Amino acid sequence: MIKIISLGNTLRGDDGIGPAVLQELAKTDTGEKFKLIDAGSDAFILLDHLTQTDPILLIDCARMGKNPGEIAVFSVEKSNIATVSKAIAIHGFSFAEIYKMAAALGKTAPCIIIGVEPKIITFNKPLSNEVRNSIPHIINYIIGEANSYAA
Amino acid sequence: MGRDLNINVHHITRVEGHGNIVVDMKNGVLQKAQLDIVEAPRFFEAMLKGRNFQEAAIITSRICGICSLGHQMTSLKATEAALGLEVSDQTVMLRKLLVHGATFQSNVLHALFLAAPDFLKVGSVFPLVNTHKDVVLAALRLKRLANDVGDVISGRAVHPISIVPGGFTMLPSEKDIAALKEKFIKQAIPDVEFILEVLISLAGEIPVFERETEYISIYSEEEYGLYDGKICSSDAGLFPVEDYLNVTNEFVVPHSSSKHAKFNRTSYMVGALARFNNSYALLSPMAKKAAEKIGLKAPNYNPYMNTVAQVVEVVHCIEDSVRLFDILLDKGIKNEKPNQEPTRYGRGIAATEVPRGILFHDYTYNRQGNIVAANCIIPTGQNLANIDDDMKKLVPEVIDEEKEDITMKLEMLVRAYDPCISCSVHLLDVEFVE
Repeated sequence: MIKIISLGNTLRGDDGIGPAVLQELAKTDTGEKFKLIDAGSDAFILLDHLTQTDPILLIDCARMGKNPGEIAVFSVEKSNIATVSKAIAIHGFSFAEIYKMAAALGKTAPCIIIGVEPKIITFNKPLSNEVRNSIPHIINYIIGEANSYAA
Repeated sequence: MGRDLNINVHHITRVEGHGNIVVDMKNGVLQKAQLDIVEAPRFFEAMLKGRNFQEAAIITSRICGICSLGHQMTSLKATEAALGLEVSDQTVMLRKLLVHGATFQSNVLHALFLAAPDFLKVGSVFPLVNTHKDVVLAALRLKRLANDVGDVISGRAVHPISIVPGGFTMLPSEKDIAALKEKFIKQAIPDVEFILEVLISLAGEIPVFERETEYISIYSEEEYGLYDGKICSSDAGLFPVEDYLNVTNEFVVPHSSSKHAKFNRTSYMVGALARFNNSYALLSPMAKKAAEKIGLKAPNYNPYMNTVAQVVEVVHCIEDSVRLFDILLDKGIKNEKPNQEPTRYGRGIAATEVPRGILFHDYTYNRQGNIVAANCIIPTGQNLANIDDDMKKLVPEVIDEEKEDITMKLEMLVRAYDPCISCSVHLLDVEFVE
């Protein structure tokens, strides 16, 4: 089963893209193909899942130098971990630290990150239109991945 | 000529929230030794005003992501007290399981990821992944199991969903309870025994320091006080929870955005060591053996041993959870609906032990079932004066050591309390003069 893990804070504008995608996914009827996990900003939840075997699709807003709402999908490898880590924010630890810790503890789960370029991440703001419009594309991608995995 | 010493640890690491250690000694005379709290107030009590009784626990669980269950539980109990809502024995047992899960998860994480690096002379948990991999894995397994308890019983590990005033909106199945019991017996007990052995091997690294203080915790005649009971002071005995304001006596200090508290002395301690000192006789058999093995006897006056008391409590929570699973499986899970028919509208006060100590929630409801007044007193805030008093005794005792070593001992002291600083700063009454 694929785990769809969202990072982010729903109170901070486009930082809430992860939880927003999970909310929409929860409405779809995809059987038992994936498990939805809202990790908030908790590094240890992420660490816990990285040390297991089920593949992970991680959704977060990520500053990649793209236009707001643009999506990038990339596999996490040791070679690109520094680049990934700069884009992903977790409270208290960097993604690189968490990933390295998981790797040191044993084999890490395959992990793909779906990053969405934010427009605004200040408190008390909703998702921007640009980021909100990316949700259907993200969901299509996730369902495609879940179907491929299940096949 | 006495020593001059100036220590300023800006934002101590490996604690939740932001606090600064400040020590100033001139000519051998201690001018200042304190923990400055620099977090902003959270305003949760203000947010609760006007909110319906269905919402209070959902809001207050957001005070913290670490102790969300504790806030939610205490909030529910305060609401139930205010509205005259009785809960069933099954509800109480399920809640106790949740409290056990939250306690052992938090205690494991603090002991191994936040405090243990000091005992092993490393800066964080990350080096331990290479040197103590099995311990880190055991800690992660226990955390995962505690999350499973939250998922199964309350619908979600952080910010639980199905615990509401009067009961549960959804109940676990007996199959789920049996599966949890099996994991506890086959995995949790071996893991905690292993962790205990590791802690015993590190016992020599725990600083030797004593300052007798007043210890305050929940006390129950029937069991180790976590979910419910009276307020117990090691100095003054038992008090009803409704008397909490006479016990806590919060006051403002210039160096802290969180209030301090005191009762029969200039400060008191809450948390695992306070619970251990007050309720040792009610620990589970395995936990008592663990305490004996590691050399922890009640009463213990070394605040650094709070971390050890936490690990003893992990043993207790796991063993007692198995007892509760057995009772639930024996009785069967009854399909009960939450009792949400108020029989009164008024003031309700509740206390629960969260991992860091005794937590109070106090709500007053109007006849529409909306909150008109609220107060929350958080354990970390209650510990702050005690931390300052500990520092004032500790610094002169170690003054001949190197500055780096004194600084480390001070940091370890603060960490030993496992402070949750963000939780502790709540509303200050501010009068604007225009």
